[in-house]
Amino acid sequence: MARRPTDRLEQAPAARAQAGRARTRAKPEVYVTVAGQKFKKPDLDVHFAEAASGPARPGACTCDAVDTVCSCNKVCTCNPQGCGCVGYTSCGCESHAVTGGGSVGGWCSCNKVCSCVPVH
Amino acid sequence: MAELFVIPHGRRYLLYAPLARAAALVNEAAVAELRTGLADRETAAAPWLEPLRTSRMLEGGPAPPTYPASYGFAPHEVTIFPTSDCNLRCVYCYADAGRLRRRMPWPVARAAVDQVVSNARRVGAPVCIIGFHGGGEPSLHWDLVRRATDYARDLTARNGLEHRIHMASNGLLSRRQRDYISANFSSINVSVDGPRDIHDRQRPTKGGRGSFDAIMETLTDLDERKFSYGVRSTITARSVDRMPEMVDFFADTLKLTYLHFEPLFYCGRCVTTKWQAPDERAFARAFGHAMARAKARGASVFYSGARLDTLVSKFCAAAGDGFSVTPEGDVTSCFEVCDSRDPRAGTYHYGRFDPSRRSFTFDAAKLARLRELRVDNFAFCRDCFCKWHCAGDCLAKVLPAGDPVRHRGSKRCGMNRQITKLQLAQLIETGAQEKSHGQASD
Repeated sequence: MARRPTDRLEQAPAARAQAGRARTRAKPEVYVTVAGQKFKKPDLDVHFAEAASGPARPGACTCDAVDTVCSCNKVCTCNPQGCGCVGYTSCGCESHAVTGGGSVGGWCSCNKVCSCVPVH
Repeated sequence: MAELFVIPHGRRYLLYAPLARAAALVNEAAVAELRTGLADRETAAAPWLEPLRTSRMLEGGPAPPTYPASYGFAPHEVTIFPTSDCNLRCVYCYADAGRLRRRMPWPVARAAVDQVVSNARRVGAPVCIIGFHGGGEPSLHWDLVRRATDYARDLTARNGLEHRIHMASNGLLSRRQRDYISANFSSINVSVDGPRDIHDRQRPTKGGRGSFDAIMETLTDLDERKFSYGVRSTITARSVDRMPEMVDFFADTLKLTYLHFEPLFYCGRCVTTKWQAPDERAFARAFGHAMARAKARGASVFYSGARLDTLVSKFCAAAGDGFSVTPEGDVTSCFEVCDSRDPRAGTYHYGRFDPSRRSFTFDAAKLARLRELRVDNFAFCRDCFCKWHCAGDCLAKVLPAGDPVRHRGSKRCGMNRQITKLQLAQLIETGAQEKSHGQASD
């Protein structure tokens, strides 16, 4: 079995961290940052449909294929009731599982099929 | 607690905020300052922190992708397992397909389609999705596949709904079947294990012959028809070092830009054939090489346990969302648990076809328990930088009894973490190149 991961900043080994601080009085440095648009799906956020009622389905969108990025930058997390992006007039779904019925399935406020859970 | 993680990267560190979609390459002193000094106003305002402030990674990001406390069960997608029979004898088959020859009776398939159409109407969903998948090879029960497809098309049309049809297949399809598929299906997924020698060794026919030629004929035909299909390759201990070569093979042979690799999981027929899973480190290393090769060829590779571009709290639909029906009429949330005698069926089978009512009955309590199998309920995963990507990994593999407290990780954790880190490092590397190009042009 695997060892339980301890990756959080707060868990960075104190002794090592202090050693890093003290060592030659090195200055903290940030060499590179990547954020937002550098990630494939920038500024991901998640929204859920209301369970009791179907979300409105305004507008159209263009993404319905593998590796596309939703035009509203929202990730669609499917559930059997419907899926995210509710309230956005121009949005879409991400699709990792285009085949094989491997997806949860779902639909998006933009009327596109949403299959955002990968096959395995 | 902010979702901010530190990952050693050579002599430096990757600072990663998955929910904020931001990462940075920093030195040890920066980690030390961040760990001990962020609460300190002077440190928090330090100029060196400016790039991190700009990327908003210190804020921890938006809320995690968790699910609502409760939501109704009304799937408008069903995956039908038409048969447990198969004309291949893949050495690693999780279902040991072909050993039994169960076939789904038509009333079960019809009830499954009725159910999702009814649900779609009830919740106002515009589309129904019908999938055909294993246990066995769906196309061996072709009458049922055709009948269910025609029925779904007519029923959805009568109800003002759209429909999509998908199928996972071993690719042994006749021309007539391909004609029908290309005219009626949205896409299919075909298992191909790479060049001929690998494929024929791992995926022989029932009679022990190679299946490579027949499957490549299918894929070439689909290419000519411009029909959408995907390819999935299972990587074994014997083939793991050839993953980069497999990328070249597919890129040279087929019109594919997206390759799906999965490591063999020791179960099913492996128990008798003794074929082994690849070493986790070897798989991660080879996947890294395959990533680089794919990038150079304008393609990409995918593995379900490492999904940097995805934020989820469930690995897949097995956590109480999947509606799949076995040939016997059992409802399962997990593709891999397709036999009622599987010890995991007690966890993942949550319903059954009722012939007297011609519909399905569901066990609401089981469904509720399945829905608890989310990464936010796995203590083991709490402090892992991959948690919102692999979401605790494949439940059938790591949690056969379905008890979230028993999640203790698996050998796959190391593989998932290593590949996700590789993907992160690749992003950083691209960022660094862009930065140096920017400086050069300034």
